[in-house]
Amino acid sequence: MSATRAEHAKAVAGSDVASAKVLMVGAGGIGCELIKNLVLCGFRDIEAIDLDTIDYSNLNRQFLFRAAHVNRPKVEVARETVLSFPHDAGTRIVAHHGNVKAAQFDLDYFKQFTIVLNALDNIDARRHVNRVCLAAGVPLVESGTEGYLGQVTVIKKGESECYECQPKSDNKKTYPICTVRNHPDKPVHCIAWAKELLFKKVFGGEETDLVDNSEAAPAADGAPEQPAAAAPPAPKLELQPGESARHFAARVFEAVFAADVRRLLAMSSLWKERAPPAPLELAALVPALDALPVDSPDEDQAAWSVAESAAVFVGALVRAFELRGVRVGQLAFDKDDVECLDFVTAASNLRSAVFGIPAQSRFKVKEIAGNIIPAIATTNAVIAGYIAIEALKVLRAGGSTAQCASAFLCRALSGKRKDRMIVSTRLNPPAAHCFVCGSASVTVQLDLRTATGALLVQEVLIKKLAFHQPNLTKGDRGLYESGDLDEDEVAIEEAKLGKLLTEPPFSLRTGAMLNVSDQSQSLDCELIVVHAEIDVEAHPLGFIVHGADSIGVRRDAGGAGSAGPSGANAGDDSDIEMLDSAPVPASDSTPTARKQARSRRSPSARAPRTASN
Amino acid sequence: MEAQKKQRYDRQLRMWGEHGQEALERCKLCLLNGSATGTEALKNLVLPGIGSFTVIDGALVTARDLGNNFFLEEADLGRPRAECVTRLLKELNEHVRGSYVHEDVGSLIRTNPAFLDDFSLVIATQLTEPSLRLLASACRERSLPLVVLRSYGLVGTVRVAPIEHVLVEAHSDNTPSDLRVVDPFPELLAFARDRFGHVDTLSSSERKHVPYVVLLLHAVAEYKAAHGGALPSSYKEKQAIKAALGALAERWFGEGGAADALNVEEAKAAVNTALSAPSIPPSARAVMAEAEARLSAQKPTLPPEPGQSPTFVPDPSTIRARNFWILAAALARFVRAEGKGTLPLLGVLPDMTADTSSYVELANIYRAKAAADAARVHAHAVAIAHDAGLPDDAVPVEQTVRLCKNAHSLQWLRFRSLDEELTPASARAAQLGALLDEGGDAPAAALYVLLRAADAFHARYNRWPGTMDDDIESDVPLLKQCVGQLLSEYRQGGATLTIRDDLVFEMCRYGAAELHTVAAIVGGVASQEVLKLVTGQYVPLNNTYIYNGLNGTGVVAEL
Ligand SMILES: [Zn+2]
Repeated sequence: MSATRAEHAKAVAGSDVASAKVLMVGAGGIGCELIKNLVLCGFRDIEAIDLDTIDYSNLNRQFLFRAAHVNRPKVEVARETVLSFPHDAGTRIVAHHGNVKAAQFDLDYFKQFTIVLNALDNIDARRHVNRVCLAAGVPLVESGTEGYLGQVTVIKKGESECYECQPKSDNKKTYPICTVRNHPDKPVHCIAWAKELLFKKVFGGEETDLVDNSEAAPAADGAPEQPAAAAPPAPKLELQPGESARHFAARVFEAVFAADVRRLLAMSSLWKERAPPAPLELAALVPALDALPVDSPDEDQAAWSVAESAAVFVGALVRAFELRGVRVGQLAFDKDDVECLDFVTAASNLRSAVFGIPAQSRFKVKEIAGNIIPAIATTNAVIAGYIAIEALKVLRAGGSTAQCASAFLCRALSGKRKDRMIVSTRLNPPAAHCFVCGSASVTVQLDLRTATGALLVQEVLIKKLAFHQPNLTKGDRGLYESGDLDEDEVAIEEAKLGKLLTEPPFSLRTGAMLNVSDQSQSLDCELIVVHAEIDVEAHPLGFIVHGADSIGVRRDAGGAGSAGPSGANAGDDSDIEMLDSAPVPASDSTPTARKQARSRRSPSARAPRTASN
Repeated sequence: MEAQKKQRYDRQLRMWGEHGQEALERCKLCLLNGSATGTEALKNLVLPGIGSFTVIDGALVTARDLGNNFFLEEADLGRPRAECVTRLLKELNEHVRGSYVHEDVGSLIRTNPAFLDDFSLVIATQLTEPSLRLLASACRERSLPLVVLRSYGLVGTVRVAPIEHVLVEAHSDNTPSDLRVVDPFPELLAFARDRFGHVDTLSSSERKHVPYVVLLLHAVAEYKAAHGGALPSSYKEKQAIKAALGALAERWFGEGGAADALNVEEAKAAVNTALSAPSIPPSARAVMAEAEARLSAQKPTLPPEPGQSPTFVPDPSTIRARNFWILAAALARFVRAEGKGTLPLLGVLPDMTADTSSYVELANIYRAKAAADAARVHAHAVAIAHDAGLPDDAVPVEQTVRLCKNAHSLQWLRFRSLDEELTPASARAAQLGALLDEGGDAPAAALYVLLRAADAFHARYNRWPGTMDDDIESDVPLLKQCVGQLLSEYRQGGATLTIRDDLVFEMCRYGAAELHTVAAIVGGVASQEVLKLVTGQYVPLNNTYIYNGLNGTGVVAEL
């Protein structure tokens, strides 16, 4: 049998596949196909990294997993299953269940491989692997799929375009937090409220006020209508000793769909140009609370009525306590968990009822809240086949990408590309303006009067520019450090985040030239900070980045595995993002107020997406 | 659908919906030959939950199979391949029924083609050309869709070969704009009149929230009044509408004050698309014409309902096609009668600046009109079904609604038969010639001819070129002869093709080996097309896909 594998390898690659050392990052949809291809191509030395565990919804395509494997680490099961089939004697597969950004997978770790193959499902991990491979000089085959679409390309330092050379658009939606908290006008605002605020408060134990008091307008005499300082603290929503789950649910209902709504109504300036919200009464919707059946409803495709939503709201909470007891309060949203999804669907639809917004089906809410990208086996099979072919080409060329191509699997068999289902193009050369594989500097504009260390480090460096553990220096002066620090050092560095950038230790003035370096990615670049007044309507994040402006927002062709958290929030469910925009007086003259007043838009909000498998 | 299945299939339900999944679960699939290429395709259909599959294969498992086929184990060596791959493929999905027949496919096709009657779609691989042509004819006689796939060294092909295929849901990215501003329906006019009849008396804030559809209706009405009832249609006339909108904004908000009147901007931006009279695309017209022709000719496209005839139970895909033609004929009647030349209203209101209550009301007006149009179409469908002796509920309402929502993108694809493709008199030499430029040193056209030459070689010598132990060289001139014969056939068909000698050698070098990566790619493409055929959604390729593993390209041609 190994004779035929060698035949295969020779026929396809004309190279010694058996001695190549290959790293596969991600063991999901693409990864399952890919590891099978690698073994059947005659690769004998394979390592794989993946963070994820198996979910029931993976089974429609991740063919190495069975129902009995649910909740086990993907990478371990993939290894076991592949090795349970015929394979060449001496085939070595090492499975790492962990985050590819972990310290153990450093530059030296990557350097040992002949080639790295990405089978990932999130941008953040892709950017990280891109940077480490560039630094290590190891060729990287990058891939992604979404529904019937997919793509493969090959990246090598100095030879071809890197993952971050080209801007790609992203459907990640950000919503101003005041819109979400105080005056939603689209279903997606209500879903964001239910998932990011109410769910975290009730299930995740977060202490947040669901109402944004900063929008209480000053009255004529200048005194705030409802002074923020005097605002009652947000009531904790926790099950009290002796309280039944049903009555707790009723109490939560009253707090968020009646009491909070009355607080909003009191901010009369909000409703001058908007239809005011209407509080809901649970008793009117659920007449017999104690006799209410708590089963999850079957209806998935049509939106529930307000009364049905109220019943599901209670039912989901009751079931959550029955199934999880005290762990309610420490839960994170899981789109594939029935109670989580029922609760968020019901809550967002009740919220919609309060604000006169159309309700959504559970199916649709799942898609939006869970950031779901359609995925099937056929596309992953084709793409994983192409990854293997490209990998073999690299090996044949002794590590060079000269023979390689980018491949795009297209759906539309019409128009100009009617005769090509798989479009293959030459690799683009590296982009000169790329701060990752080139030496371009990045300029960030922000308002130095208000910008803090947190804005620069967390929003600009980590979220926007995808640094993992950034170190910031100005000349020979260290401004901020992260990475391998002890507890005391961490506390010192964290304290800096609250400081204004104009204050020590930063003491920045406009035009300041800084250096950012990240040892975990072996990347450093020059960063220029420029003061500017930022139009928060156009730039809700509060800064503008040049030289890498498109980098932080790319539309992701979802991939396969999850070897790293997507975004700083970890997990691929965190895709509805809300922003704290600066408090703005509610007059018609400011851009923010204008934006709030203007948009009443279609209920058919498209799902925000960044990742898939 | 049960909750467990919903969760398992969630990511694909978002592509083809529960009705697509239902169609998939009703499909009875037959795989002829469980080689690596065959099982890679089948795997991708078992995972999403095809109803059932049967593997027919007379081969015994060889060492070569163990080397390239994932769905075999060491212990399977020497056992029937059909049995072994079926066992492992069934493990992929407990909802799928799997069975096998250990019998030589070629002889089965020759002696008992009636075995095909049990299936709703056939996938075939590793067949010789004579067997394949017999199979294709037998499938055509039964209106049974056939997909043929092949991987041969670094080359692969997928041939999609139903007689025809109809589809409602193309899932195309561009939805036509259908606001009916030009010829508004009464409910829309009433809304504009009742809610915004006195636009000039509105407050400044209210003016900013008049939906742009209303602004357009207003502007068009004024234009018509000033032009003796004529509609603005030319570019210049549409520019006049834009100017009128600008003037309105200035009157409302004063000079420069219109800058933040987003609704006016939206109205201007929509002038070009919204002011064109709704049109019917040629493909949809062709579908409707064919539907009426079939109806008047009483063509046997309307099989009886299950139960009506005790011996004949039509396949679900046949019912799908039957209902398609009934609905397309109903659509044609609607267009002629109630539609006054237009398709049913789409009923989708795009995003626009408006206050919530008027947006919701307007959206409901469009939705209600679309529902009313669909109800009219459905009444026609019921009448047609009734006249054909079918029960009144033969066409479910949700099918009518779906068809109306996709009326612009209805498609009727016809596929050339394998006989047409392979017979010199009808072979498409010119199409092939056009592929000479595809694939650099290894043009797709050359690979296609080489595969056919390998078939001819097999017909002559009863073995594949390059499979005589270590003697590849001596087969090269023999294969060249086969190539030469084919090229002269194509020359008579008007295309001058040339094939380089090194490619002939390359073909001999393959020795008909199936390489796993090529099998995975070709199997992926073939199963993708099967999904499109079975769900009746997305546009399948018509009719040949040629994968070129020498340089990683793939082309589609209608051969
Ligand atoms: Zn780059």
